Amino acid sequence: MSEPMRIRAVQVKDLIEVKLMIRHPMESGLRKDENGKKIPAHFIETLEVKCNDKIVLESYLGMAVSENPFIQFSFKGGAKGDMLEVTWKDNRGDTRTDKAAIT
Amino acid sequence: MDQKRRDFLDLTTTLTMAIAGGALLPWSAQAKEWDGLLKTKTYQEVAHTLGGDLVVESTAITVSGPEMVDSGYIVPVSVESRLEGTDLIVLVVQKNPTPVVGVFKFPDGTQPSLNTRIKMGETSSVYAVVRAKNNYYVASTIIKVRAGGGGCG
Repeated sequence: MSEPMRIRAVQVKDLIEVKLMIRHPMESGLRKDENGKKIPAHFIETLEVKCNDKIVLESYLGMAVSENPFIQFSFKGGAKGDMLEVTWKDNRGDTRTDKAAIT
Repeated sequence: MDQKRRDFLDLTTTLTMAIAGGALLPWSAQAKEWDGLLKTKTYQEVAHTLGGDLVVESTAITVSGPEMVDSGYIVPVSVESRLEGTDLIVLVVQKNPTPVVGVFKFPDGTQPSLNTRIKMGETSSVYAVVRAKNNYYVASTIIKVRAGGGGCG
């Protein structure tokens, strides 16, 4: 079971500044554990951010994004109180969606 | 090999991988594009895979990060494009086993800039390939790494 993301979306003038902190191991599949056994790949492949059902960021991530991915970006067209919805899917088919209101 | 056959083979590969991974999701053409990008080794190949031709160096793109890091496991990088009509940015770490780190699509209204954290296996150029009005541009920076981020992909 995946852990909730941390989503911070703050209005600054006409921009909404978004910071996402996602809990995920982002294992590349190239590392080995202490017994020399390969640690299987486990990483987020797609990440989508919506504001009021409109896509504001769409991304494909590779295994070289750091553990517990952090992404910061900003967009126009949002306002305080609007809902931001963030969804990821990983290479094992797991998916998670979290929501937060713009403050 | 003609183009149709190649498309078919690409699709077969994508489907096989999706089924093997236990995740047959309707990502359609985009997943195929992404699979292709993961195989690219240079920023020129990235642009070609996306259907672009020439890649022009641009001073209207900023890629920045620390000059040197002790560990390549968490390296903060920032990308910003000041090119009008930017709708896509691809981050490429030249010396990583899989150089393409991420693809970011910016719909109208989203600022074409981004901060994130990446893994680097060794000292490398970091490129940002930018698509603006269907033309491709690139800018880069070098980040020195004392110890690689184990299995950085």
